[in-house]
Amino acid sequence: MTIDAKTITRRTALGLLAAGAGGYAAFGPERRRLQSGGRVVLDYWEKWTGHEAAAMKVVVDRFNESQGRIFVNYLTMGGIDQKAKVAIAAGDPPDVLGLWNRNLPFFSQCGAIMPLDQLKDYGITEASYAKAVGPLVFRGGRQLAAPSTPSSIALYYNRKIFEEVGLDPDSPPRTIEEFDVAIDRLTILDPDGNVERAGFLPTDPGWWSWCWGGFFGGHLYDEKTGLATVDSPQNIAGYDWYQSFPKRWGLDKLRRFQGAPIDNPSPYRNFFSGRLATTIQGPWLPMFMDQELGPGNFDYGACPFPVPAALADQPPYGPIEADILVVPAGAKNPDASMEFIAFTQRPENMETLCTGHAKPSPLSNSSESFVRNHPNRAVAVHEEILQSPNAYTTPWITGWAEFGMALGAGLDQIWNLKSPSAAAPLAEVQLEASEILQREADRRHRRGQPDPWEKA
Amino acid sequence: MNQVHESNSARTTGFRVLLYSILGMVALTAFLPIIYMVGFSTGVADPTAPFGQGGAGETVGRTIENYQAVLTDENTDMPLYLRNTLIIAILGVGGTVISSAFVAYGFSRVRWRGRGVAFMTMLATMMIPFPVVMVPLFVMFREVGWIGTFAPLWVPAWFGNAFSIFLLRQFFMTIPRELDDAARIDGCGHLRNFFYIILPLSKPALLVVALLHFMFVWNDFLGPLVFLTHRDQFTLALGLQLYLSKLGQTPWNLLMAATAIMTAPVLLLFFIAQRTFVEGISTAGTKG
Amino acid sequence: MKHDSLGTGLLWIGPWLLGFGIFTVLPVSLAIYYGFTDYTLLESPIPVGTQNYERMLNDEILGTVLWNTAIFGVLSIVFGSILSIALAALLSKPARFQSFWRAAVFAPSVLPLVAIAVIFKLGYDPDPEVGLANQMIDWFTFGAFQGPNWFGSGFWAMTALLLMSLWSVGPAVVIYLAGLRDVPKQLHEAASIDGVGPVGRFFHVVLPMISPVILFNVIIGVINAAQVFAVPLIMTGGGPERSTYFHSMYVYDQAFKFGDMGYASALGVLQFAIILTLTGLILLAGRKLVYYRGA
Repeated sequence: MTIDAKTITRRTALGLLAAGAGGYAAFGPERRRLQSGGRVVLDYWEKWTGHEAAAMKVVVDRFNESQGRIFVNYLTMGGIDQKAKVAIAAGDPPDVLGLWNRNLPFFSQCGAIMPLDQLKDYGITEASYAKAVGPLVFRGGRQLAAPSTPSSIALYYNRKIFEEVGLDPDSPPRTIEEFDVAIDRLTILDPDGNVERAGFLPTDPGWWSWCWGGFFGGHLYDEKTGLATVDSPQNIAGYDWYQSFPKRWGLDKLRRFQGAPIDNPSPYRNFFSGRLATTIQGPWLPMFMDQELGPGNFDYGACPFPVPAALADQPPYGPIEADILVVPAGAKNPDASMEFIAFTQRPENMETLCTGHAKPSPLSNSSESFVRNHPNRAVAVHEEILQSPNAYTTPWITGWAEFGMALGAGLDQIWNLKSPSAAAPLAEVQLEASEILQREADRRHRRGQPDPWEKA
Repeated sequence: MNQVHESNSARTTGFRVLLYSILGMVALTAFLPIIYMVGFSTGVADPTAPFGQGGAGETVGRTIENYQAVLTDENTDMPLYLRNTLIIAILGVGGTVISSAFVAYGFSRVRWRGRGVAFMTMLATMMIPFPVVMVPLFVMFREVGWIGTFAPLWVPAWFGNAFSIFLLRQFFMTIPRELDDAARIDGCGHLRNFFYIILPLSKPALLVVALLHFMFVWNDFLGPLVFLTHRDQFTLALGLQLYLSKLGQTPWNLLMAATAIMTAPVLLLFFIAQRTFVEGISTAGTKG
Repeated sequence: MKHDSLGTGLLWIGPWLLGFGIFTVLPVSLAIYYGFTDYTLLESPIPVGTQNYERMLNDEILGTVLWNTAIFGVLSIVFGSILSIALAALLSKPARFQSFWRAAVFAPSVLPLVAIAVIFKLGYDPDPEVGLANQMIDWFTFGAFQGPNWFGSGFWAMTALLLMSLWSVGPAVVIYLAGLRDVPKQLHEAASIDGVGPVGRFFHVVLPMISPVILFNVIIGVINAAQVFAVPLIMTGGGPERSTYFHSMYVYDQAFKFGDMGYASALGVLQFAIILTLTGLILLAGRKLVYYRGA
């Protein structure tokens, strides 16, 4: 086939045409800034899927219908905290962003989010929130984020199995000592020592690796001094108790019982199938019970997690977390973003959202109908924890991601019985954590930011 | 290949039986993950299986509904991701083939001082790990406003790709010089030589380069992870990860169906073009 | 033969030259610069001198990831080479459906790493009803042996990753196939006439003949092993106890999870330096060990 001038010209023309079309395609879909109705469009990135997304979408729809100036676009994102960092760094962030409270220190220190001062104009102050929730999102008197759904973590137990072994389902264990006795009664071992039914397993699920010391009164970090306190006696006691499980039943038996620590089709399958008599879980659990077992097919009870006898008379101890809403730095319509956020904080919307998630409400008061009609019959337990001075959460440090990873590695060592007690691994984590905190302090000083324990 | 030893028919038969059974086992092992994936993806989880007793593994039926479910899932838009991946792939393939051909010509047919050094340097760039340049590239692209667009994923392809250049250069060097000389006598400069003589003879090699880059874009995960910010720009690799990240709520059958959707086109392409492929890789390796 | 001008040469390689400047020299220089800063990406870089490099000297985690990367690299290259040469020898025997066998061996490496990781993650589930690996162990030993908990210990997790890496030997096999094909038949015949059996022929004739190909594959293997990222990320997340935590993952975590781009860049520069050094050493060793025909 000969190539001549005509062919070349024709090809050039085609090429240019393709290039033009390609140019549009090449840069990819553009973000819609304005809807056809002339409304401002806000992109709201959130991590939820399934019924949790549906609950928020109800609120979003309510907002969109309640006024004609702003339209909120709900978008699900995976790996949202990392994607958010990249988007904010790229100068092209979403308008409203859903994160976790543990992300807040880092994002606020780097100036990646805008403080929500405007929420004051809508009548929202720290007093609007439950006692333990306020400190999660307020710092230095300013509101940095708005909680969307909080959770507190409690002990869930299978009432039928309790009855079966002669325990009173209406009077669950209050102390660790009582709990240990109960666990032994609830556990069934076969003649070879294989675990057929486990009374309790701290690693099923192992989602709150940082919580165990807290039940024994320990803290990982002291805000008043800025020092890590990972190897405090209370933490060692807590993690020694954590280690008592592979010790009492054997690491191999437990491995066989649990299978790989990967995402099972359902992380709740052991508890729901009765292989696990009690579990540490959040308030959302009944939603999944309904989904996986059918409504009303599981007789559960919940109580604050047992604590050592010395602490048993105090207000309940429990880990708390919150999903939060923030406005990223560089968002194009911060006023609109804050209007939407303020809308979500209204009692009626918040209660709709939290009911949909089967979580307690983060507000200082919840209406009677909320508690009465709540899908979780034990929501009062969760709310009690949210109002308790003994509720605790992840430390307010920017390096929590790293700190948490170090703790996780230490936990692996403790669980795998690489050491006879938790003391040595925790001491190692303490060293790592101290280095992390030192670097964090250096970072603060470099930026001329005061240490949090200094009175400004 | 000549049989060096004398052999009787029984011995040859025994040998052949052994050979084919080993080959068969190897092929089976190689295909195993794919079979496994397809198996899971068409399975129906037993809804009545007591929970915790292999509820995920027991399949009670075959269905293609899983595929439908994945394609119509409201949180992930697989058809859109497919379209995005195709756009990036086509733009990238075009760029790679054209630019690499030019450069390979420059490294093989054009005799110039310093060519050797330049070629060695180019080979050395293959050793640079992506994590090193990942962050500075991000910053650079951010300055020109290209983060959150497809551009960072295909524009660099238009500047040549070391492996493709290497492949094409090796191939060009197998084309006899006499053709060049004859053309030169006829008054052809380099440009015409390139277009009318070298390129037409290099179609198989160009095809290999195109296929390799297509596969690279299809499978690329880290690039889109770092450079794409908006969900409607995601590629299939990211879409699969998005699907995976629905913690504890994604049944494995659906996940495998999603994986199958992502891999089917590449596998298909490979089987169609496999001879070209295999030849191309071997050319690169042996003359290296 | 006439030589062309330098200008012509540069013009032809122009696209690459330009790209080299923009996409290689510039980013690498920036990376080196960032290695001396505190950079969260959300703010401007703040110079900190050699702090990042000093930190690397005492970083235990860095020691762990380098060790893991090295172990994985060495084992995957050694086993991968043995397997690919063996497969190439197998596939070079005349047989029917030859292109099918070869395509089968090559096919797994066509799959995206993400997909492979997801499939194997499911495949290594210790529950024999779900995970293929343990299902097969159960089946082949008639229930005598139970498959291990693949993700429960560092040893098994690393083994799982290594086994997985063997699936992608396809390209190497193909290259070895071509290399084997190029071994002159006369050498085979001469050797057998001298009374050398097939095994001896393999070690004394074939291996030296394909040693340049082995060198090529080893260098490619080093470059790839040093950068392993996506598969362990999805399959094990680096655990348990950081036993499958590799260098690239550490760089990524520092950059995007912990927001320390400065340290991440320093780690990246280290990675590059290691690859350069290893490649140089291997090439030097090659001078002594590799036999070049008609060089």
